[in-house]
Amino acid sequence: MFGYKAAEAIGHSTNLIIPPEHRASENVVLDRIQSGEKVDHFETVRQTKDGRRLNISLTVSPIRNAAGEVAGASEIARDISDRKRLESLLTAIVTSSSDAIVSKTLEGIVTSWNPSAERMFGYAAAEMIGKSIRLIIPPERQAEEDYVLSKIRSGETVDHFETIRQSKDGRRLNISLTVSPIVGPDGVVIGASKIARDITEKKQLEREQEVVREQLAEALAGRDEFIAIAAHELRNPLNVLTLLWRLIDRTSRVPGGTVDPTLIEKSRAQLARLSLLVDRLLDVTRIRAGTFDLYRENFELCGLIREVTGRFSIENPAISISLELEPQIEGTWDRLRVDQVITNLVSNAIRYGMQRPIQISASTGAGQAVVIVKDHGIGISAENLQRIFERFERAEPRSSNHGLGMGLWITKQIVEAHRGTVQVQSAPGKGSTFTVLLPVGE
Amino acid sequence: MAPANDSVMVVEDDAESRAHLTQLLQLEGFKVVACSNGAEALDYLTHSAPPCVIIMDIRMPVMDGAEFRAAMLRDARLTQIPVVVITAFEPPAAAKLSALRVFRKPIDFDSLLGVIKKTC
Repeated sequence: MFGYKAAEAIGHSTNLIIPPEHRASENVVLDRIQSGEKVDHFETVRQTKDGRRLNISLTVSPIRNAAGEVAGASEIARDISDRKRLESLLTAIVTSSSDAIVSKTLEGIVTSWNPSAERMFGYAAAEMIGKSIRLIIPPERQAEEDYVLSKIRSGETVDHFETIRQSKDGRRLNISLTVSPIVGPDGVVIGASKIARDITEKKQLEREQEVVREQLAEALAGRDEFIAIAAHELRNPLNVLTLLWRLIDRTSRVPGGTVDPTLIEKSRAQLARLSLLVDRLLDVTRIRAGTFDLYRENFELCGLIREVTGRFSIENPAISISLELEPQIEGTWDRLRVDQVITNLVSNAIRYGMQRPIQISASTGAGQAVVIVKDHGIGISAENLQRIFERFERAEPRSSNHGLGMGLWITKQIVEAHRGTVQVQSAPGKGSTFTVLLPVGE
Repeated sequence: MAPANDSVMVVEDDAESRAHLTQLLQLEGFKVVACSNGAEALDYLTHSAPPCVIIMDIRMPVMDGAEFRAAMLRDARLTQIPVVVITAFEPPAAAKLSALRVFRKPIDFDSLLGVIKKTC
């Protein structure tokens, strides 16, 4: 162990193998031997012939002469360098670990508290050692400690137990706990080592991911619904066109037959309906994608209302549309989009108005333009009023000149993009009144 | 009453689709009874000779295709009338209607005509 042959050592002072800085403590040992004591497992340092330092554990016993007086000492030295290295390695690991590593007795009294535990829970080692681990357990989770201690007493490990602990300043921490029994030299459990990992961020991330997953699923379901409805809505005018062209083909083949010009006109109307549908589907897509931009310009609203109602009067000469408009309402809006809003509302009033007169008024008040479209038709039930502004909703089942089920949703999106509101009042059999408020300026 | 072999019933709520399909079938020599929903069709069937075949849409106001078909299947007089479904939905939407054939809109008129000629 020390590198000296027996012949080299015998007759020399033990100082041969005691480093100079340890000689003083060696004297203490010798004093104790002198008084007849035995020194057990005394950990110290020795040096070898070639100057290496050894960690050793010494057991020193007095040697007595025939008279019973202490005449010398026998030393049994055990090289514990490997154990010392392991200990310092373990200490380094525990000290540098980013997990909180603590130990406690079977009564839950803290016996060690590493720097990460200090950081995580806010208590210094000096504050916690000797205190109960229950200090960091929230009141409603105190029972967990009883459970953990009972597992430990029976020699079991509690593995990756996800729970909540609280720091000195009262913050709640999501942590993952692994608690293992510490077994003493005689095989009896004497305490527990506990490794706690802060998983607050992980938990937060999980919650965020869950929200994203839900939003994604909702968006996918919405997209599927959109595609199904779009396909359905496009197929009806396509069907009419297919039949119309078949009719044109069939009638023009009859000898002497001519093409009925109304069939051509009807085809044109179906094409217009298809193109309106495609526009609306694109609007829905743009609004949903958040790429729906307004192109604001200054214009006069009443002129636009006259223009829109003029178009409807030509197509529906039998329906009376009366206008009550202020002379001039100037504002900064997206002209095409406001045209779309008024067109939608008037078109609905005609579709569900049972051919009865329709009133449209426009006025200003409190910096807003107020446009009211009132019909006296079938009206909307209270139940349907709740959802007519939702996407793809239609209060009434599809009728022969059916709408698209997107119009009012798009109307609402356009009005809200202008920071305005659209509201409806209605009673079944009495008709509906749609009121649009549009702030005049930007 | 024995079925009229040259009579076809069209049940479709879209006025234009109904009118043009009726006109095309008439040009092919069929007598056509056109109804705008299931209730109208059922009313006609209880008072008149059954048609050779019924061509019907699914989504209709008042009484839709599914309700109409269920009512037909409850009436011994009507269960034997073959039904052809034309729908803007995907064909599986018509799966429970015990239809002779399901066509998706826009319909292939020649195929429809083939089915009708084979049935009537």
